[in-house]
Amino acid sequence: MTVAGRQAGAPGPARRRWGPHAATAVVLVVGLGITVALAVITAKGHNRTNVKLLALQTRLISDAIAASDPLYVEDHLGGAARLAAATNGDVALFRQGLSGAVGAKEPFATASLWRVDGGQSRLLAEVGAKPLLAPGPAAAALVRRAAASTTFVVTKLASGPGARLGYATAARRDGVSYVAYAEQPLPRSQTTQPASSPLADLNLAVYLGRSQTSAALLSADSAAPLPLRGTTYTTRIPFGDMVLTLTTSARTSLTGSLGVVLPWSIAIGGALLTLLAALLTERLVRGRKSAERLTAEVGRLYVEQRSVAGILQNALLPQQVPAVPGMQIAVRYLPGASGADIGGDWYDVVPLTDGRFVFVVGDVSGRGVRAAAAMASLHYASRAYALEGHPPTVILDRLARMMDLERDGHFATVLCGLVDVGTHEVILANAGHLPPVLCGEAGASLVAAKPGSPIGIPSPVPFRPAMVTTGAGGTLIAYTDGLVERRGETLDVGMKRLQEVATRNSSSLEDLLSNIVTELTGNSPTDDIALIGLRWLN
Amino acid sequence: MAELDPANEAYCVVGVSKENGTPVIRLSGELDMVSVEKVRSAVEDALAGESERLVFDVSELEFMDSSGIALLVSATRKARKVEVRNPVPIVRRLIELTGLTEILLMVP
Repeated sequence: MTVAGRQAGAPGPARRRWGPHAATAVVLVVGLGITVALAVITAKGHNRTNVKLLALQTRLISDAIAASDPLYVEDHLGGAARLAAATNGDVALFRQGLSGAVGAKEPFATASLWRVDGGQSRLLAEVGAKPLLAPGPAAAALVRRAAASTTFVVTKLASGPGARLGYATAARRDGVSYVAYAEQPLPRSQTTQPASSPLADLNLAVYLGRSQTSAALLSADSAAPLPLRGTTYTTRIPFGDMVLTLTTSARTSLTGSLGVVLPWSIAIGGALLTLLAALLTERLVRGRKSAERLTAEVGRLYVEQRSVAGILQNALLPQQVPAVPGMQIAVRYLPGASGADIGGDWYDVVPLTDGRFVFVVGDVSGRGVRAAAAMASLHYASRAYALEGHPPTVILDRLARMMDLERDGHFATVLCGLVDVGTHEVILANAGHLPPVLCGEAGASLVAAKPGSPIGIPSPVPFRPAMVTTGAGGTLIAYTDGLVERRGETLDVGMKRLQEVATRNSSSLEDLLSNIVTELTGNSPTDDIALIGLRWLN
Repeated sequence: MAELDPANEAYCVVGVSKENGTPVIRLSGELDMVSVEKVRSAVEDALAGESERLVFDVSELEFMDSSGIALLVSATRKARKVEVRNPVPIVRRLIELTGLTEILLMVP
């Protein structure tokens, strides 16, 4: 037997997909997104901390410069100018006053004293080396600038290794200004900070004025090319009538190596964790998909099994029975609602010669293919014994030898009847089956005959025949227990109900059977039902 | 299988005792195709030894179908006399109509 509909009706197994699933992609994207965000936040935080530290260190340096350099100039040069003003330009005292501050190893390389009266400036004295700012218009302009200023004035002289700063400061008396001028070499451009210094980590450049040009550069301690680029911090320090511009940048991370490593650690660690999570997700999703496939497959097999059961049932139990002259015969089979399992109920009609036939109704206990197979063997064996001309009791005796409850796990109740159409006589034998209903003009009644033991349950008591005779138009109805069995009530109640329906004799046998099924089960029986009706036409 | 509704599933409880050496198996609840599988092993354990007589006390068994019949009948292989004590009418009539009154002796 081929099972049709398998290819057509049932869906095949879902096609396998080896690409990542949507959930995995989401995990990957979200995980990497969080990782990148964390790494960026950490790096930014580190950067901010670096800038703060840079600012702090730079301010410390600028404070140190502001606190020392201008005071030195004020002390020495300012003192010399005030002394000159007080002594009307005493040159000897000027020389004496600056003698400790001017020299090759002293802060000032050279110093001079000027007298400014009205618009005229005149050099009074000179100490130390030859000044870079030679007497002339430039020197005169600087001196007049100092005379007009309330603080010392600064200028940068030359550039490169020999560069000097020129300072000039004035003291006034009776409208005459005495200006002390000095030049200071810029040796600091060569100094490097010792490694232990707090400045060791910084690139540092000091400019005179606000612009960071090489012409204005006073001092630098930098491993990086000037002007400094990247993250820099710039502060300005008042310096005489000018300002010093101090610019710094970090040589290495000021927060230590952790600050540099941390964002990368987060990025790499986060990426690895994300990858791991994505792999786990992929495994879970694949596992679920395969479980779903399995479920679908089981469902498909279940449906297939149901259809196989239905096909088997139909093959074993034809909806048509052989026609018997003088009789109207109708049958019904209703599968129970208890699932895919095939039932073990059956009916059969076996025409014989001389206007006789045998009918059989049986019910194998249990359900499933094994019960159906047991039913099939009893079904065909009973047909064979009937065709051989055996009476019902012998048919049941022989069936009883075929089956054993202990061995086969099943037993069967069987009602077998030999009908003589002409004489209206029915010889019955009953192996544990429910009694048939006989309908005549007086109404419907059960055929009372003591049942023998079911097929498969050995009993010392032999089967005994029972004879009933029907009138013209009489009807005999045999059935299996699914028709009358209900929880909470005895079988008698169901059989009583069956008699009531059968008493309301319908015009046709088909209608009668339909009424019985409808009224007793509502057309949805819980257990399988086999039903056969025999009606004498005259 | 799939159509089984747990709320409607029959239950059956087994209790085993001895009465003057005779095993008494007490069945209560409902004995049908589903519940019989749950009590089968308990009943088979109680039937482990051979004995002359065996009693099924079914006074609290409210329903039984052919699966229950098969369970009771299988006990007849273990004891010469199998007694079914105090069956309710549903159980009594099932045994009578199945033609087993000679094999399962109902008391009373």
